[in-house]
Amino acid sequence: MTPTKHGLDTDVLAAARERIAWAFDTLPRLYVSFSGGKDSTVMLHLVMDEAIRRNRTVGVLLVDLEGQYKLTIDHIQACLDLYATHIEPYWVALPIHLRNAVSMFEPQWVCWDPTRRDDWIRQPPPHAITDPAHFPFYRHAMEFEEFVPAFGHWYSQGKPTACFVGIRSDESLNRWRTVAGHGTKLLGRNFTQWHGETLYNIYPIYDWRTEDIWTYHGKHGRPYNRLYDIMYQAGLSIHQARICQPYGDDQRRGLWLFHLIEPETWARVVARVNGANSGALYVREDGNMTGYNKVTLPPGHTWQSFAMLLLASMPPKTRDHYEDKIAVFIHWWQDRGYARGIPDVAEPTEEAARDVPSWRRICKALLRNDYWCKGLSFSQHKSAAYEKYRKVMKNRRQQWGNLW
Amino acid sequence: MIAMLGLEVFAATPNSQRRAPLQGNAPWVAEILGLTREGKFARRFVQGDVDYTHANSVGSRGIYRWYHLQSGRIYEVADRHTWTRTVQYFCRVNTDDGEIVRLSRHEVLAALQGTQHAAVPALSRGIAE
Repeated sequence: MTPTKHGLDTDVLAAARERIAWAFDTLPRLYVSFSGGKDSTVMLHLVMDEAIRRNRTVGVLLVDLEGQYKLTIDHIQACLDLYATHIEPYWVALPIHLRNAVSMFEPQWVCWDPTRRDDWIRQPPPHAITDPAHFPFYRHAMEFEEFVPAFGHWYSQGKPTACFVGIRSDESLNRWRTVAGHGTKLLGRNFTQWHGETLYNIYPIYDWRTEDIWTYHGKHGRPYNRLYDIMYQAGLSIHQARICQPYGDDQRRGLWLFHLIEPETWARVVARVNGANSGALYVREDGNMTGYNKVTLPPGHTWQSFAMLLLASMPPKTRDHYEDKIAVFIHWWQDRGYARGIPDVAEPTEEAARDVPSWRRICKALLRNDYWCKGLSFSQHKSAAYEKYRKVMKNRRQQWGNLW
Repeated sequence: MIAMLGLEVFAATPNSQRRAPLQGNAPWVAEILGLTREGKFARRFVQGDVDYTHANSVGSRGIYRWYHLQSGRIYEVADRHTWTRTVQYFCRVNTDDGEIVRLSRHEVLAALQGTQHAAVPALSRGIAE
C-alpha cells in the first residue's frame, strides 16, 4: 500500500457490503449501471444480496451497444433472469452516438441506427427498450455520456437516487480521479459523487484490485462472463481483458481479439463499423501507425508540414473538424507567449505534460485519430451543441485569419 | 433516509444582479434544533450544493441550491418562488419513504415541547446607544 493510501480495518468485500448497506439506508431509489463486465457483475451480485435481504427492488440499467460479444449478452441475460424478482430492468437498445476510433471516414457511429437495420450486427432482445418515445429525455443519436446521467435524473423521479457504478480506482488514473476527486460527496462519504439534482453515483468497489474481483468469483461461484475465460486462453492477462465496445480510443487495442473469439459475429462487425477490419490489423502497432509512444518524422518534412500532409489525407468533414481544433489550439497559445506561432517541437517531457504547444503534439493527435483532441487539452462536445459550435468556429476562423 | 430539496437561486451571478437587482435574501434551509430559553427557534443553517445544469446564459434563472434533509429532523425553509415572492415554511422528512411533509408552526412547537436547546443560546439583546 502506498503512503498516500490509508487502509481500513477490514477487507474489501466487507467494506463494499457496508457501503452498499449504507446506500440502502440513506437513499430511497437505487439502480445499478450494469455492462456485463467482471466489475459490474460483482457489484450487481453484492447489491442484489442486499436488495433480497431487505426485499427491495433495484433498477438495472444496461445500455446495449449492438456490437457486443454474444457471450456478454448471454451473461447479462443470465444475471437478469437470476434476479428477476427483485429488479426493474432497463435494457436499452436505442440509437446512441458512439466513438469509432478506427476510422477517419466515420469517426463516430450510431448503434441500432434505424436507417441501417439490415446491417445490424445482431437483433436486440425482445424485451429491450427500442421505442425512442419510452424516455422523455431521449434525443435521436445522443451521446452515450449524455444518455447515462439523463437516465439517472429521469429514474430518480425527484427523489434522492443512488446509481451503483462498478469502477475501480486501480484501473486508471482517470478512474482514480473520478473517485478521489474533489467533487461534491454525499454526507461526507468519499465513495459517492454528486451528479446534479438528486442523483449520486456510488462506487462500492472502488478499492478492489483485479485479483479481488476474481477471488470473489472463485469463492462465491456466482455467474460471471465466460468471455473472460476465452480471453485468458487467448493469452490476455486478467488485467488486459476488457469487454466494452472495442472501437473506442482506448479499447481499440483489443480489437484484434474479436475475430478470434467470435468469428461469426466479426463478419457482421466488419460490415457494420467502418474501419473495424483495418483497425484489427494495425491497431496494435506503435509509432506512426497509431500515434502511440514514439512518432517519427518522415524524411523531408517538418512536423508542421507532416501535420498538413495528414490533414490533406483526411475526408473533408474530418479535416474541417481537426482544423477547427488546431486553430483554437494555436490561437489560445498566441496569447500565452507564442504570438509568432507554435514551435515544431518542444521538450518531450513538457509536451507530455501538456505544458507547451508544438506541431509534434498536433501530429500525435492526428495519428491517433484523437477526434475530440483530448491530447491537445480539449474535451468532448455535447452532441446538441456541436452544429452551433461549427458555426461559431467558422466566424472565428474568419476573424483570426490564417494561423499556419 | 434522506430527502433532497432544490431551491432556485435567483440572480445568482454578479452579472445577472446588475441586470436585475433582486430584493430580499437568497433562499435558505435551517434545521430546527429546539427552542431557546426565550421560546424562539434555535436554528442551524444547512449548507447547500449549487447545481448549474439548468442555468440560463447570464445566471439569472435556473441555478439551484440542493439541500440534504435527514429523516426525523425538522427544518425551516425559505423558498423564493418569483422575483418578488418568497414562501417560508416548516417541514420534516418521513422516515419510511423519504417524503418531505410540510408542518404548521403549531405542529413544530408541539414536536419541540420540552426540548429546550442549551447548545445554541439566545443572543443577548442589542443595546441602543
